[in-house]
Amino acid sequence: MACPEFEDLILDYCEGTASPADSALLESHIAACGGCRAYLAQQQELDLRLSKSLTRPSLSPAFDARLAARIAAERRAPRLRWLPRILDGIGYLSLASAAGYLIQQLPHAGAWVGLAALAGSAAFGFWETGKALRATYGHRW
Amino acid sequence: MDSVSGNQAFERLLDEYRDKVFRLACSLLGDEAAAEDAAQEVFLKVWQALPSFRGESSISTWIYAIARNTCLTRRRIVAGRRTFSLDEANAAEIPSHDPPAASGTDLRGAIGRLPAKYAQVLVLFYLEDRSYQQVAVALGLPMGTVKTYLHRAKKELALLLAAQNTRKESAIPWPALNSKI
Repeated sequence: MACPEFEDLILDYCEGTASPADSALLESHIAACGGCRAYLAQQQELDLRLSKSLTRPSLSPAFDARLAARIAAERRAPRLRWLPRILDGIGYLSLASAAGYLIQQLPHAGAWVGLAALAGSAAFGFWETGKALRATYGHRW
Repeated sequence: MDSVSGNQAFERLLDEYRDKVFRLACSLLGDEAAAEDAAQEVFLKVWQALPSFRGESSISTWIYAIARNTCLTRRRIVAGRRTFSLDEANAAEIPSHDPPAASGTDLRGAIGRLPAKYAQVLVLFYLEDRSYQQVAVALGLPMGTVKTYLHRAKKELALLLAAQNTRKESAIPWPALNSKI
């Protein structure tokens, strides 16, 4: 069991980020502390295993060709990325018109039911549009 | 930006960030094939958005933000599919996606059992030649947080591996078990 106040210093030491003064302090401590010596050995072994196990992966040689093909396909595709948003807008305008008509019909009981249904539809629509916008353009915010 | 200079700028970005984005995706998704698909999507988005890049942040911050969001969206989709399939079918019949408990001293299995944010920092630290700075930039985290997560990951990993070793040592081997019957 390592001394809690030395645990992070041992990890810094293994990562090569401990200052010379801290390194000297640790080295004099581990000379007298079996627990910290064992912990240092355990962390050094773990560090070695991680270095051997987590080697840099390589992209497949076809990566650039695949990307070029996707970009070429994108260039050929018609620019309709905003079409779904435009359709959403038309849908919301329709909802607003229907809501305006139903408000004129108040206090007829059916109008309240209709307004409640419209509010539910609008809330669901906003939720779904928000999700789609976050998924598509989230990286800009 | 005209088309030719735009293409040249994109090619320079691709050369510089292709592998970095791929390594970040590997650390966030834990699977090389999925990471490569995500990297494709990231560079397609970069290509689409590059003409409107206004330089409000550095180009690396911008590309890494796109990469993180793309990977996190993909992870949410995969997690959603998994939840859906568990709702639809008898959970007992669905094979677990978690690393098997009996993975012995399998280091990758133990890393898979760490909290995701610790595992991501740990994996990326080793993939990026032990650079706190590079991990911090790629994950959009302060350096102090990277160091804290890395140390927590290593402490937990040491405990997990020690526990696995203890379980293995305390298990009665088959010949001994047979001799008792």
